Amino acid sequence: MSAPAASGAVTRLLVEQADAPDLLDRLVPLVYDELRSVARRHLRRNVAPTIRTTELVHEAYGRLAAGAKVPASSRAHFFGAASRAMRQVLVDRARRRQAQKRPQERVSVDFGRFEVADADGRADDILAIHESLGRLARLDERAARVVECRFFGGLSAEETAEALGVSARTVKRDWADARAWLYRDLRPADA
Amino acid sequence: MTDPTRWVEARRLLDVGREVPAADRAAWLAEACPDSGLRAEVAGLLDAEDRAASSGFLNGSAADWSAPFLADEPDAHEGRAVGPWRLVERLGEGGMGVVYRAERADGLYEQTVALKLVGRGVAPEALRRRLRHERRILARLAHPHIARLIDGGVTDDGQPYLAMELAEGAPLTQYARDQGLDVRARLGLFVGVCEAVAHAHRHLVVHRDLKPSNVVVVEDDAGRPRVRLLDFGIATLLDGEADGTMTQTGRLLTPAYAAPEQVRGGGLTTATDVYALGVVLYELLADRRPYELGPELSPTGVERVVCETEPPAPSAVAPAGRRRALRGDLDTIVGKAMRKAPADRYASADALADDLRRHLDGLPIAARPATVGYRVRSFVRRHPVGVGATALVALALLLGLAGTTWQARVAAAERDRAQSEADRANQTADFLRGLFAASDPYNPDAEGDTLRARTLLLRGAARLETELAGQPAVRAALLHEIGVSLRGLGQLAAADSLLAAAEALQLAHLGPASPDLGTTLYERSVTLDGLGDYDGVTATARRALAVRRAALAPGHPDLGQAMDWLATVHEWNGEPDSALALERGALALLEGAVPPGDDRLIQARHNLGWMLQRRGDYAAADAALARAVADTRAHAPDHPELASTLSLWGLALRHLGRLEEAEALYREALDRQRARLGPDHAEVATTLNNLARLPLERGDLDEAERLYGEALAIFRHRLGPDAFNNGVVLAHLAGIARRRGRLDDAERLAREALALHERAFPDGSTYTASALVELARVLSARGRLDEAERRASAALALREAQFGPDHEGTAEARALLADVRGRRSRT
Repeated sequence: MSAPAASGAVTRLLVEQADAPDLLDRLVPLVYDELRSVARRHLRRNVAPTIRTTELVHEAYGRLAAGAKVPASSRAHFFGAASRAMRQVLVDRARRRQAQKRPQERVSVDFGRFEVADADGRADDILAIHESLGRLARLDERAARVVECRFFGGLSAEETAEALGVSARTVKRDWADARAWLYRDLRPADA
Repeated sequence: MTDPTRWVEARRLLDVGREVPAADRAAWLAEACPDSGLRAEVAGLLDAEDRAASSGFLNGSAADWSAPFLADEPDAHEGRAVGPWRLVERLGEGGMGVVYRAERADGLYEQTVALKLVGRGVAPEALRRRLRHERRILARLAHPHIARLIDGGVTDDGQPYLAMELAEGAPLTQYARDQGLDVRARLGLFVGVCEAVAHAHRHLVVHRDLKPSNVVVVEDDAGRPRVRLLDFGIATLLDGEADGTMTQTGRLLTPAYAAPEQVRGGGLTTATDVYALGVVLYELLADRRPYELGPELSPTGVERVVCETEPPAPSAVAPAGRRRALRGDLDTIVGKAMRKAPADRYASADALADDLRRHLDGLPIAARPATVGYRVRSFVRRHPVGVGATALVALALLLGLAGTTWQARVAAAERDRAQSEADRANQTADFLRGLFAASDPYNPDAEGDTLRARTLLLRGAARLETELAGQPAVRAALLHEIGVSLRGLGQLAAADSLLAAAEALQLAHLGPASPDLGTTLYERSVTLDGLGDYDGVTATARRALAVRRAALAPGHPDLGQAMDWLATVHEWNGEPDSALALERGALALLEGAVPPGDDRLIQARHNLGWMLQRRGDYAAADAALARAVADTRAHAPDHPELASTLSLWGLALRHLGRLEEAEALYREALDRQRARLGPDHAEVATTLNNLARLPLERGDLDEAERLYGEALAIFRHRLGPDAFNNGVVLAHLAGIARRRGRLDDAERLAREALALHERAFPDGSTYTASALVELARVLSARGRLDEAERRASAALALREAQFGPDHEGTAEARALLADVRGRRSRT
């Protein structure tokens, strides 16, 4: 299979403009399409639909960077961008799913019982998390990005730390606090 | 919380607070945070953190968690126009592509279909070509249990599509589970599946991908479950087996339901579908599949499991409450359908359905459990190339497969040479019997497209002229089978020349005393009879009996069959005594050799009745034929010969004066024959001829003339202008014309009848006598008494010779002669 068209552009960005302040914004659209198609392939390959986000992001990287010699820091930037792109992919698809759905009361789904959640409920929840994460970002952008990398991008704490240029310990703290904040935002105790 | 400064404060407190035991938190917080607002925030966050942890909030990744809605993503194709269709809704995704509910977009009429956008590896050009070839055949597969192909083509942007009748329902296996159906109900539905498959096979369409998701249950308006088969012929359309472009990699199959020859990449036949039916039946009965073929298995692994391991019997793995019902018959039936070698399976889907029906009716089934011999053979077969190589050759031959495939299979057959010729010939014959059964209209199940079958057979025969020169036994067996099938289609001359060629090959290579030669001679004799070569008939009938006497054990049923046939030949040849003696011998042999429903036994009883009847011994004929009819009704109610036995019995009853019974028998015979053979078959004409006698005797000349006229038209059309059968009818028509006073017509008809009989039977026959009697009557009515006397006395001489002095026919001729002479003496 030939390298995707975005490959050259991604490599150039990662190698030549690793320090550009708008690197993230410029990378995300390039990664977006690739992630979508990799995700589609993963889904098609399996009888029961499952995706391992980590594999998916790494596969997208492998295809986009296609053997170019990329500095470790740029690679980390890429994963950060891929996490943002993945978030967009999922949000777009969840929105389409909602648009197709019959209008009805939004069903409150227990996040913990993933196995019983239906497709509609999950689309609703992804959008709810996405919106809540937007509110958190206004309060604490770094913590929000940690959630983006770990939850949407499937990155480990260490990869997240590298992508964001902070310590792993900071990532862990941000993650714990952000999770509490998001949960409280979505499920106030007395609701 | 929206204030970043307060959030930083809160985080600092959180950091400490999450280490404080829950019970102590309130006290700790009251001390650590004097700001009551912030205190409430932090308390809320700590509580949220506990709830988040216990509910697993944000564990795992977003994409993994979103998979359910990503997988059935609303499709970009919905709303799109495809050919004359508009895609309405995505129904699902299968191995070959995505299926949509689609509606007619051109507004010509309202129609909803299942439209399949074919995804994978199908070249649009190849599909277009195959559609041109196959669409007509597939569209003709009209059967209540088959969802039809309605349309197919290629979209503007080059994507192939197929539109099928929409059948929305649950897969058979799921339906049975959901409804908690018992074994009988499951079998009832499954028999319908077999019938649909058999119907398609008769139209020479093989499914190749039968599996529960292609067999759905739809409830009709009354809520009764009806099975529907999807995707018939589609695998061939997409895969190109039929035009030889199939490639190993492009092959579509579902491993769990694929037959050994399918996973090996061998030739796919109706037997492949029979195997898949076996797997579906297994799953339907046992609620699980015979083999565990996980996705981790490599193609070689799949091949090993499917080709080399025997699955447990369904009863061994079924839910406990069902095991007893499966043990025995049903285990055996499933086992026979799923045999490794195609030739060991049921010969057809019909045969499988029959056995299931027999089981449901509490009758003994035809299948036998696998013997040690079977296991040994299947082991031998699955190792070298030998898997039914001859069967593949035969199939390739019949379907006229393209050069490369053909040559490859011939090569495989050559390598298979070590196997003995006779053994191989038997395999070939068995295989062909299954394949051909549908093209013989005498086969009770046949209703197929005889024209297409004939074309295939003739093409197969033409190929044999040049192919298989090195394998005379296989060639002879194929010639024989094709010959017999062609005879069933009415191609007598072609049939005879193939049988003659088979005979010559067998004589040269198997010697003068082989059972195969005996069978070929017997079939040839029957064929020559149809052709009217009576010397040939007699010679081959004698040789058939002699060869079988030399080749078979003294009580062998085939010997009885040869005796029965030669007896009828004697009868035709005007040797009624030796005929009757030989027939009684045949009957005695067969009664000791075969069960009461056996074809050969029924045939012998029928023939005995016929001979007795011809002697004028109607009471004895009545007894023999009543027994023949009773046996047939009891053991083979759909037997194709039942109609002619009924007809013959009717004739005997008519002579005994039981006219109403006689007419009822004739009418039943006529209905059966028309249904089975079509309205213009020679057998139908024979019955019409016999039936017409009844209105004639009632004096209903119009009805009699109408029936005779219909019979004559059929005989002339089917048997040609010179057939003696025409003469029989013509003599009756002459009698009617005479009674109506149309003496010119009557004389012309009677002379025509006589001429035909004299040509057919130079030494005279009962028919000749009847024509002579009629001619004498006409001449007498016209006052031409000299010739009348001459004809009447010739008739009397023949009847005396044929029947002896006391027969009523002889008496009739004697009375006629006396009358003519009396009139002469008065003039």
